[in-house]
Amino acid sequence: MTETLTPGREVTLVDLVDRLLGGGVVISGDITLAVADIDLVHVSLRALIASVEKVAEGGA
Amino acid sequence: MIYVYGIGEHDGRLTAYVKRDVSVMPEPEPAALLDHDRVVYSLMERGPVLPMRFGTVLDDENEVRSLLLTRRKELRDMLARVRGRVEFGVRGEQPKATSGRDYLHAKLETRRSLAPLAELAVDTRVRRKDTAYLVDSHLAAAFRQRARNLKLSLSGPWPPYSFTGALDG
Repeated sequence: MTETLTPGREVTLVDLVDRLLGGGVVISGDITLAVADIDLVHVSLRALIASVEKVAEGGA
Repeated sequence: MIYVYGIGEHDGRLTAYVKRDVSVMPEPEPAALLDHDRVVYSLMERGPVLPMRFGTVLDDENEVRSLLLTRRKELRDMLARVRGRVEFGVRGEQPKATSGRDYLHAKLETRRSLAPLAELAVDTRVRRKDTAYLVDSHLAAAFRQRARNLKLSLSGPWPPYSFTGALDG
């Protein structure tokens, strides 16, 4: 598979799936790693970026 | 629930990038995976970021703050390691297992052909489908060119999905 899904980057679906479901920070304990079998309501990228909020650690 | 895309820094403070009021658990369909990746990638263009695994949700903001506070040291260390760096993936030829000997030979050949790439990287990880390289951003173009010269299949640049560890309790 060689189609480019993101401009300026080489991103194939196989590599994407492998990284997002097999990489990244994983937290064990009381935090849920949830991938449920219900449909995700599709939100446009613009809306997603705009809706990303920040939660900062208090103090330094 | 709060969906967490990644953890980075804002004005020097540890910061989680989240989407609030998420009511449905995300399904790993292509569009959702792409959205997660694009958000994390756009964050990475502003500063170091640790991508969360797809589908990480927390109950509320207190859990997010608690995570940032209790894992502060590990998170800071991980951020320092990926600062100014991007990940590339390189796929070598899959050895055809006609015999055990041929297979090992092909494996060795693959490793040899990838050595010039490792020289340009600060770290490597052998993944299931490919090998991941953590590369200083200013060497990204050189890395791409070298992979092209070696006729290797390259993916990226990626946020450092393969260079973030588990936060075990």
